[in-house]
Amino acid sequence: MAYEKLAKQIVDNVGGEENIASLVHCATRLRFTLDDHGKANKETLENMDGILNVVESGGQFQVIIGSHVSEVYKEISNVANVGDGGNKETFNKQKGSIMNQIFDVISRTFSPIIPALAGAGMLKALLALLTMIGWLSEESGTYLVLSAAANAIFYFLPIFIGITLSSRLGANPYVGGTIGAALLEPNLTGLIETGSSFLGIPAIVVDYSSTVFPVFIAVCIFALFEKAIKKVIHKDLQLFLVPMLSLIVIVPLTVLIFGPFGTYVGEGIATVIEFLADKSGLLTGAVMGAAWTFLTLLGLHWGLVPIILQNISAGGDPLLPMISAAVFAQVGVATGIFFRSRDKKVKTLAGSTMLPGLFAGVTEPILYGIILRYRKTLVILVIAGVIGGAINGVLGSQAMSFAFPSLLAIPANTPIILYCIGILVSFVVAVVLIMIFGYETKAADKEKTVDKEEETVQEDAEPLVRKETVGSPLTGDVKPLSEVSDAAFASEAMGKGIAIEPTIGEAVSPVDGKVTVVFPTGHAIGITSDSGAEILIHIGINTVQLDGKHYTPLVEVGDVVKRGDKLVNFDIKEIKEAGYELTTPVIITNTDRYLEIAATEKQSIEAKEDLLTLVI
Amino acid sequence: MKEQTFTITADTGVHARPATLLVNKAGQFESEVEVSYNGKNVNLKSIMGVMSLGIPKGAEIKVTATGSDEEEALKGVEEVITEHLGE
Repeated sequence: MAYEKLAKQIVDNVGGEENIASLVHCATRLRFTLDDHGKANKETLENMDGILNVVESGGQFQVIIGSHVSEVYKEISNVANVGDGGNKETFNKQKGSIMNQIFDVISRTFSPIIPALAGAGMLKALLALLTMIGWLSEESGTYLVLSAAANAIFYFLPIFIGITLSSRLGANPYVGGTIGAALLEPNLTGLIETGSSFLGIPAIVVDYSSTVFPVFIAVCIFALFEKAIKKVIHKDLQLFLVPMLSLIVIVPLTVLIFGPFGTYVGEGIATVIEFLADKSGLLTGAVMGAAWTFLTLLGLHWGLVPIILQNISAGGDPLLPMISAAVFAQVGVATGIFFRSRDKKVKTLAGSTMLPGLFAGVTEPILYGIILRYRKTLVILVIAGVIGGAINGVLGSQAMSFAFPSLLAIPANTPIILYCIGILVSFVVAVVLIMIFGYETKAADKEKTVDKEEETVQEDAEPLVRKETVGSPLTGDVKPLSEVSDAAFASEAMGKGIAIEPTIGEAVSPVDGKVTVVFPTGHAIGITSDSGAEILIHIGINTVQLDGKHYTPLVEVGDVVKRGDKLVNFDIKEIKEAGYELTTPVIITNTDRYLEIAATEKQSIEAKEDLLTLVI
Repeated sequence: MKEQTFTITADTGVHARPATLLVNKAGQFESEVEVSYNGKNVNLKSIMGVMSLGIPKGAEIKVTATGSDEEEALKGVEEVITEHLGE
């Protein structure tokens, strides 16, 4: 695209590459930190085609482009060396603590694959149930095929994580996925038994299937590597050279270092735990009940499996029952949320993750889909896990055979009754705590918002949070503002909102309030709601040029209206035949007044139905 | 306080897009900026406000800026008007 020229012009007019201390971008703006603002030609920039506006604020020199800003940003970073301080994904300015950032990366890495994990987990549970009641045999073709379907995502987890994590860190997702895939390539897995060497360095090949930690490290390094070499390699050669070099460097590093490192860390942790288990059942139980969740999150939990297996062959394993407490605590959290939540989506998520956890002991969906999203639940999880784990530790329950803790696996433990006490307590404590304390932190769930700008959403919002819902003025299809062809709207320069492609030529009032704007041509109506929201309904793009033709306003400025009262009639057919788009932006022009403006997720809507939610 | 009068020659008057440009420009300055037309006076930093005036072609408007950077504010607004809305 012609962004290259624009990019060069922008760089020239901000005082040149040397004047740029750093550059990041958000949803619609380039944000420069300049050494000397005086060197920038604000006016020249403002008048340039492709630039909506220039604002100097907060110590930054902001060039407002529009929603294609990321492409312009890319071109700029190609022509100039701009330090952006690491992540390209600086959408959220809230830095938060390091812990928060780590959790954020982890949860965003897993959230795209949660549906697959949950579905596969459910299938696993179903298969476990069917084989247990004898309806399906583990040797049958039916079982094998279905079990392949269920196990696939767990087996190939490194590939999926490679893709999502790379994507999150701003590196090419499919190269990242390839790195994960390389670890599972049959030639490599063939070396697991024998070991091998790479360039003379001895390599211990580990089984990477289902692992998380090695891929995580590998992809983080990959993201940094890719960013670094992109700066020195000529643009035209980047297409194949960057992936090639990435693979040449990262895969061996993983096989030589990250993989074994991840394994050693896991084994190290296992040794420590064994030591503790020898010393005190109560303490170990409590620690395991709490720590298991974190170990699983980091993918380090597999380090314990050898110890558990060893214990079982020696007569009985005390660790598995303690771990079960954590598992049942997790299931308890999901159950609690299922009952407590009124949000249909959350309820479905909780419900669907409960079952694989309960029946097959597969709790990754719960962990990554729920617990990481609602950090509060971690505390509850730890408390429930500690109590249940301690109980199982003290009562001396032991596992006789290796099975993921679940309802179906209860018989694997003895004495069954005592074991059940422990897990029941964990489960109940978790459910009760969720019911009492809830699971959400005070700020509204970020996943729902349309807010992608840098406005800092306060983690602990003041108790005075008020919500206002704005109804839809039209019946039709819902579109995000960024898809509107007029940059004045799409860039959110006028405020946040949403757009509707109307199917009925009638606009009604979205709220109870007063009509403040009836543009003489009837194509734009402004309403101020009783609670102070200023809503602009602009029917069609550039339709001001129709000079009122095909529009019949039914209200006047000053009229008091109720939600649903008719405002304007317009002739869709005639307007379209005259060559105009009818996409109607519905904008909150006093956007700054609100903490968040969230849009409906529906794709088509009827007049008067809830469209936007405003939070003060 | 500084003020200046302008005549809008653009065919479509001050509709959504030019209103946004004016409001964005006015918003860059510390001073209070107001515009009056036909006896009504509104804050030039509010899109709703500007559009509620329904300023058509041929209209004469008065822009007033009050504050530490009133000169620049007025100049800025003048530029937007000259470029996009005629003199």
